[in-house]
This record gives sequence, C-alpha cells and structure tokens, in this order.
Amino acid sequence: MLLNVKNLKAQIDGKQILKGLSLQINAGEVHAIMGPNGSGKSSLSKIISGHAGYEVTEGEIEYEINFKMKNLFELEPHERAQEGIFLGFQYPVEVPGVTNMMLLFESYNAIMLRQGVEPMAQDEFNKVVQQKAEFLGIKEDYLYRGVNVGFSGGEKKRNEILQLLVLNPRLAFLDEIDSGLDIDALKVVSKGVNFFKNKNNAVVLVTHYQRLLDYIKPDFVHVLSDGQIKVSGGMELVHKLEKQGYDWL
Amino acid sequence: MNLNFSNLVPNQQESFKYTPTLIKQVIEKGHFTPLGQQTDEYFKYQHFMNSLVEQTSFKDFYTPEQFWMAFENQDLPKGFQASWVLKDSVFCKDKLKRAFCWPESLKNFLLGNCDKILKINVQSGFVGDLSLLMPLIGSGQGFILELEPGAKLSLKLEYAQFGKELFGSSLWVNLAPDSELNFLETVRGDVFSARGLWVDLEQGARFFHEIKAQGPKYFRNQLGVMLLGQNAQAHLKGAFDQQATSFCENETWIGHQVPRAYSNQEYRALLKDEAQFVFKGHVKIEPDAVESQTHQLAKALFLSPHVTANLKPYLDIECDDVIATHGAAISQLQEQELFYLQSRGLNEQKAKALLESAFLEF
Ligand SMILES: Nc1ncnc2c1ncn2[C@@H]1O[C@H](COP(=O)(O)OP(=O)(O)OP(=O)(O)O)[C@@H](O)[C@H]1O
Ligand SMILES: [Mg+2]
Repeated sequence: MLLNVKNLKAQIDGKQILKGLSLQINAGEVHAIMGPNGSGKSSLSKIISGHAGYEVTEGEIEYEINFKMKNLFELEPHERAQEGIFLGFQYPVEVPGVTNMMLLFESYNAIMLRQGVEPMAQDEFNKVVQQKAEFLGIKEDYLYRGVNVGFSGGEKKRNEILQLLVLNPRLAFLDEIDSGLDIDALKVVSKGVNFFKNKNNAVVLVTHYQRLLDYIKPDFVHVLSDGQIKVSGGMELVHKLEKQGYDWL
Repeated sequence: MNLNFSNLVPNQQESFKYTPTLIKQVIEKGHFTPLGQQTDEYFKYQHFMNSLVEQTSFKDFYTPEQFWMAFENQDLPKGFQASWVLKDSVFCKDKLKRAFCWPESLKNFLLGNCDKILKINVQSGFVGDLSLLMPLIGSGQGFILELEPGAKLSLKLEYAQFGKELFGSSLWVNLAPDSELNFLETVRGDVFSARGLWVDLEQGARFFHEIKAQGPKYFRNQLGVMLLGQNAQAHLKGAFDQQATSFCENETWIGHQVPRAYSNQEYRALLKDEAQFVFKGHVKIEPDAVESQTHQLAKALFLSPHVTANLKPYLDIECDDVIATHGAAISQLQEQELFYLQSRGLNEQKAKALLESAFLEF
C-alpha cells in the first residue's frame, strides 16, 4: 500500500472538517474523489501535504517509504514532498520574484538530495525542463517568469502539471486540476497525467466533472461528503452523480 | 578624527588606478601621507586602505583622489576629464542651492571639512563604465559628475567607512541632453553616512539609479531629481536589506518642471531584528508640466515584530493633465507562498530565504 488514511478527523480554526475519513491507495492506481463544495476535499489534500493550519484530532495517515508504512505526521511538509508526495493545488499560488525555473531547480535538487541522488547541473536541468514544457505546450519564456505570476487560471494548472512531470513524485494528489481549463488545455493536462502515471505511482484526482475522467480513467471513484467518504465505486458512480447530483447520498 | 582627504600627498610617478595589488603596493610604499605625518591616525588609515582591497567587490576602481591623479598622469580612459572645484566657488555655491531640501545646518555638514570637490566630465560620444570607491573618512566628500550631450555612462559606487563617526557626502550630477547615466550604489554594513545626490536632467536625458543597501548601520539617501527638459526620465529604485539595528532613511524629491517628463521610483526594505526604515517621497509637478508621468511605490517586508517602517509617498500636483500613482505597503511573508514552496520540497529556512531574496530582486 502507498497511502493509508484511517478514520481521519481534523479541524481548522475550531471547525470540524474531516469526520472519520478512510482511504487506501496502492501504487499503480488512479483514484477520483468527487463531492459537494465544502465537503473537505481540498482539506484532505492539504492535510496530506502537511498544512499547519489543520489540527488532526483522531486517526492516522500511513505512507510507504522504502517498503515500510510510516506515520506521515512525523514528516515536515518539505520532507513529505521529498519522499514523493505532490499536491497539485486547486488554487496555485503566485510567488513573485521566484522564477519557475528557479523553483523547479531548487525543488528537484532538494528531492534528489534526500533520495541520495547526485543533483543535476543547471544547464542539463534546463534542457530537461524545456523538453517537458514543450510536451505540455508551455512557452519557454514562462519558465523564466515568476511562479504563476500573472498566469491565467488554465496556465496555472498547466504549470502544476509541469512541476508534476519534472519532480516525478510517487503520489500525485491533483486538486481540481481540470477547473478553468478550456477543451484543448484539458487534453494537454490529461496527456501530462497519463504520461506520468505508471505502476509505481498513484494519482488522486479531485474533480467535479466527468469530463476529466473520460480522459484519465480512474480505477476507483469516491464520494466525499460532510468530511467522510460516503460511497466508493467505479465509473458508474460518476455517471450517477452526473445525472442525479448529491441529493441521494 | 579629522583626516583631510584633500591633503593626501600622492606620488606622482605611479599609475593610480586602484587594483587590489596596486592598493597594496601604494600602501606598502607609503605613498600617501595624511597631513604629511606618520601619526597613529596614519597607520589606522593605512590599515583601512588595506582592508578596502578585501572589502570591495570591484576589480578596478578609483577613489575620487585616484581619479584625479590618473588624470594628472594622463592615465584616464579616453572621454573622461577631471578637475577640482573649490567649495566656496560660485559654481559650488550654486550647486548647493540645488540641494533645496537640505536644512541650512545640513548644508554645512555636506561641506564638511573638505575645501574642494572633484569634478568629473564625461565627453560627448563616450560610452563606457566607471567604478568609484568612496572611502568615508570625513564629511563633505563627494564629486560632481557631468555628462555631456549623448554621453552614456555606467557608474558603480561603493562606500567604505573609516571609523565610527557619521559622515556626510554629496554628489552632484548634471545630465546634458540625451545623455544616459546608469548608477548603481552599494552601501555595505559598516556604513554610517548621510549622502545627498542631486541630479539635473536636461531634455531627453535618462537617469537610472539603484541602491543596494546591505544592512548599513545608518544610511540616509537624500535624492533630489530635477526634470528640467522634456522627455527626461528618472528611474529610481532601492533594495534595503536590513538587520540588527540598521537604520535607513530614504528621502526623494522629484521636480517635474517641464512637460512630458517621466519619473518612477520603487523602494523596498526587508526588515529583520530591530531594523528601521523610512521612506519619504516628494513629487512636485509644476503647473506647466503637462503630460508628466510619475509613479512611486514603497514596500516593507516585516520579518520581526520589533522592526519599524515609516512610508510616506507624497504627491504635489499643480497640473491637470498628468498620470500619477503612489502607494505604500507593509507585509509579512505570505503563509500560502511559504507552504507552496514547502510542498515542493524546500525546507522552511530555504523557502523563507528564497522569498526574502525574491522580495529584494525587482
Ligand atoms: N481557515 C478556515 N477556517 C474555517 N473554515 C475553513 C477554513 N478553511 C476551510 N474551511 C472550511 O472547510 C470546509 C471544507 O473546505 P475544502 O476547501 O476542503 O472544501 P472542498 O471540498 O475542497 O470544496 P470545493 O469543492 O469548493 O473546492 C469548508 O466549509 C470551508 O469553508
Ligand atoms: Mg477544494
């Protein structure tokens, strides 16, 4: 198992958000999480990547490192990233003054350092990034602009996928990676995710729409509502939600 | 401590462009003798000059004195001229009037104990650069810089503080039509100084000024810009990286006297520990200065609860047809930005350092 979330209860600013959430993810799987606005999907993603604002009151999260399940809460946010957890933000953050290339380079080498792999020289690294950017239809000058600064909604999402491909994590938690994308951009982003996924990593897609899941086929679909996974199933669940909404839950 | 820089006695036979080795040689051979005596002060001064070699980031540079000597030895790069102007000459008094915003008491401080000031002329057609090192060894030092029409100069200036006293210096710049000055001033941590810089721009002249302050003990940037000719442009910026009890005051006066001139200023201070930063911007647009454009922005980033910033951008517009913006902002490191960087594998320290240096790079 790659990730095991057990009966997770968490709150923020005194408000209970997750109310006993359980979820198991194995390498090689694609999971989709759907659910009404405000049900706690982004909260789950932030707790997994170590956001300090949330207080976990009960339950645990285990994550596989070197074939052993480890308590995720013992790792700092940056250590989780270095161990292969990647969060694609619902609202990617603008970081003025830090260029895309600079961030990618720092991140990549921080991860390599932890993994005991030789860091890459800047020149060589630039080439790798340029090639991935081209694959995603990201123009070269975007690499030298401030991270997400002035990017359109869709460009920001594409940029998250660029980071995904460069950092090559083991668990990609992509929070509404499809929101704000035009049809072509959705195809590009899906192409990126499909290129990324293999039998050694796992993808979690948080989404509101079937469209993304037509491009990236999930093995499991979960409905998160009121802080819990209420139902799990396959694509048929997506069709049902598409038709009936969340009222039947 | 009252060393008089203008009394240093040069050895006429040497080439006086400062290079690290040359400085050492000059000092070892004792070519400079303040007041002609080898006093304790002199040895301190020797030691100071020695340390300049290690301190400065320049490869080749001149102090104002050295610039003069190079001129006398006909050793200056082509296109430069040098002369001395007496402080009580009509020319200098006239310049001093330009320092319209200095209180009388400060004007005397600027005159200090030097009786003359170096004047550097850059001739038409010149395109090139110059690095100046200003040893702060007394008040009233500085220089006058005149760019002739069309000349283009990149000037780098660094200060080196001798002793612990507060010293004032003054720089007067005149930019003739269509000349361009790119001016980078580096102010290191040991500096304890008030510096006045007065710049007159004639038609189509361009002035780019940048201050990089690396945590000076005290630095006061008094910068007066007079836009005297149409289409003159002044681009001013400053990055103050301050920690401990560093105290910086940044005060600008910009006068738009004629139509269609442009001024832009952005100053940022990164404040740690108990650092203090003051920004006062005065922009005055005279009644005739139609189609002027002016922007001013001051930002402070607070990294400790004990820092202070006082940001006062001020506009005085007596003309309708202008574009003018001004703003001030105090912020802290953004949690979201920090978390975003951490979620990409950077530890907190690294993420903070990256955001801090990003704030000062603009
Ligand atoms: N700092 C906070 N203080 C109080 N409540 C918060 C805070 N942050 C989030 N919440 C609340 O937590 C709940 C879950 O939010 P979350 O962002 O996880 O929802 P979501 O499922 O991702 O919704 P959406 O589909 O709209 O993105 C919401 O009701 C939200 O208002
Ligand atoms: Mg959300």
